[in-house]
Amino acid sequence: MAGTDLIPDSEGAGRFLPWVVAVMVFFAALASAAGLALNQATGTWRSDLASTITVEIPPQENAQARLTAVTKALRDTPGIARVRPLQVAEIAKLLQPWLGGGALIDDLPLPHLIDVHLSPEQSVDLVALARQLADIGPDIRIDDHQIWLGKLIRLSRSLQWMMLACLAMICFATCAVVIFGTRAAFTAHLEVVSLLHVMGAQDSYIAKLFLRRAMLMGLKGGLIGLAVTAAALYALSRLAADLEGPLFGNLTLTPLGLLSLAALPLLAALLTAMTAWRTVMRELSRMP
Amino acid sequence: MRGAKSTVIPVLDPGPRTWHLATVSRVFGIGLQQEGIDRVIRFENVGVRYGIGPEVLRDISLHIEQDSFYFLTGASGAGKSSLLKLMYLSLFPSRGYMQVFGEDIARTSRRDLPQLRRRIGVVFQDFRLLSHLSIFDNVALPLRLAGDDEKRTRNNVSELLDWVGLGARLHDSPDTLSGGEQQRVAIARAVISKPSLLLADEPTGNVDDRIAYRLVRLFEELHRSGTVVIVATHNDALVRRFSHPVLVLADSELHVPAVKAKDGA
Ligand SMILES: Nc1ncnc2c1ncn2[C@@H]1O[C@H](COP(=O)(O)OP(=O)(O)OP(=O)(O)O)[C@@H](O)[C@H]1O
Ligand SMILES: [Mg+2]
Repeated sequence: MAGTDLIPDSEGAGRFLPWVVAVMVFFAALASAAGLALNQATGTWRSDLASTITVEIPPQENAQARLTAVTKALRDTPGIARVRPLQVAEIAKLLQPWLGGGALIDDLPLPHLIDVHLSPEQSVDLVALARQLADIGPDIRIDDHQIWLGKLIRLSRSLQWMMLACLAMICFATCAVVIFGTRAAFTAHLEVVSLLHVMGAQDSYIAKLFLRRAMLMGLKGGLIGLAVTAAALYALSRLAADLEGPLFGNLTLTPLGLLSLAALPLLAALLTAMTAWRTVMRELSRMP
Repeated sequence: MRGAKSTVIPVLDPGPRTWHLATVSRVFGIGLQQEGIDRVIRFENVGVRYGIGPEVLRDISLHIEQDSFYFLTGASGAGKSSLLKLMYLSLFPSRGYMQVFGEDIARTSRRDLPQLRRRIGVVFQDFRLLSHLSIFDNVALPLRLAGDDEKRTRNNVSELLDWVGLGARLHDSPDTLSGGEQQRVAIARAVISKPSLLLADEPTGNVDDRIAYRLVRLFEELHRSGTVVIVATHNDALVRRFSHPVLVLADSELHVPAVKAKDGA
């Protein structure tokens, strides 16, 4: 009982610490969540998009014949798992956000689109395939999404690095705040500390008093921060769900990701405790 | 405490009821006799200065044998508190050689100093009681630091506080006590861990002569159970009432009595 009572934490010196930790954990959680979600999404985008290509046949008089020829050529190519020409209605639906529904679409000459799934076991020589399709019609295009995908992944990777840098800075700032807070607490309790010292308390005994206090404050702050984060992420996920797009639908967290977010308060408590310990040990080493 | 003389401090009464040796031995145990250390403190040419100031203590050479009881006197500012600080290892000499409990302090590692400190009880000039702890917890502090069994701690502390007449105030804050009562709590805290060496800095500063006399009698009782006692005071009248040897600090130097008198109480 004496252990925790020795250093009363009613003093103002430490009261702000949980709140600072809460803010830090909130930022850290947002940064981690964003990083994890991007990482997860990048993986999905890569596997989704890398395994499909789209063949586009511009509208012409003999469109139907060209479609049949292209479809046949594709089906004969080894390494292609599935070939599915899109129906006019589907294409119209893809265009609907831009052109609106109704008569306009019916009047437009629409291209034919063929959705091609590549088999994961066998790679397809896309250059050779493109040449082959060009023989049927020079304006037939293969879109393999690679350029776009590459850009997206690069963007996502640099965002993830930024999130990591944010995390490092948050840790750094938290340590700095804890050091100042602990020093203030140490000074505020100098009477108790020097008495314990004279009575023969080991430095580690005194440091442990501050460690315990800092750890509790770190944990408290961490839990507050996590609660706020949970609310924020829930709101964000609702907003993202409204978007329904293929891009943002993938921005979810795996159970492992959620677990690592939940571990943040523990990490905050640990960081706070260790920093407080080192600070107090250093202060004590100045006492004779 | 003036209002309740008869019940509050029976132990300090110089009557036949005072200081049953059985109680003293049970509460305090035996001090140094068992350990075979005959020199508790040894100073050779010790000098002390604070920062870059002048030497406040100069060429102090002093041997304190086991079984001694000393008064330490000197004018205000003569360095009594500083000398005691040296002894309770809260201040290190700027020169000279210093041994406590047979350990060369300059060569003792930081990790080993606490063990030495725990064998020293200190009554500070300004008490240094912790106002956020109860009187009980203040006195229990040294035992808890030493990791003693909590149940035994409770018994010993209650018994000792009864003994100094504060048994009814266990759970009060030291702030609610009079100066003299605080002094008794400070003394109880200094002796609860059965120290081998008791250093009291002006323990009679806040009390009238009669109680001062009784406090010294209390220290004598501790001394009888094996604790080496050094009492710093500038109350010359009090010193004269007892026949203990007197260390005198003057002009930053210590004058040690040539002949060491034995207990006269
Ligand atoms: N922490 C300190 N820093 C600087 N000088 C100090 C410090 N403590 C004491 N001194 C100086 O050392 C000298 C001795 O002080 P000390 O407290 O040991 O005297 P004292 O004999 O106990 O006096 P008193 O009877 O008033 O308690 C004084 O001149 C004082 O100013
Ligand atoms: Mg003094």
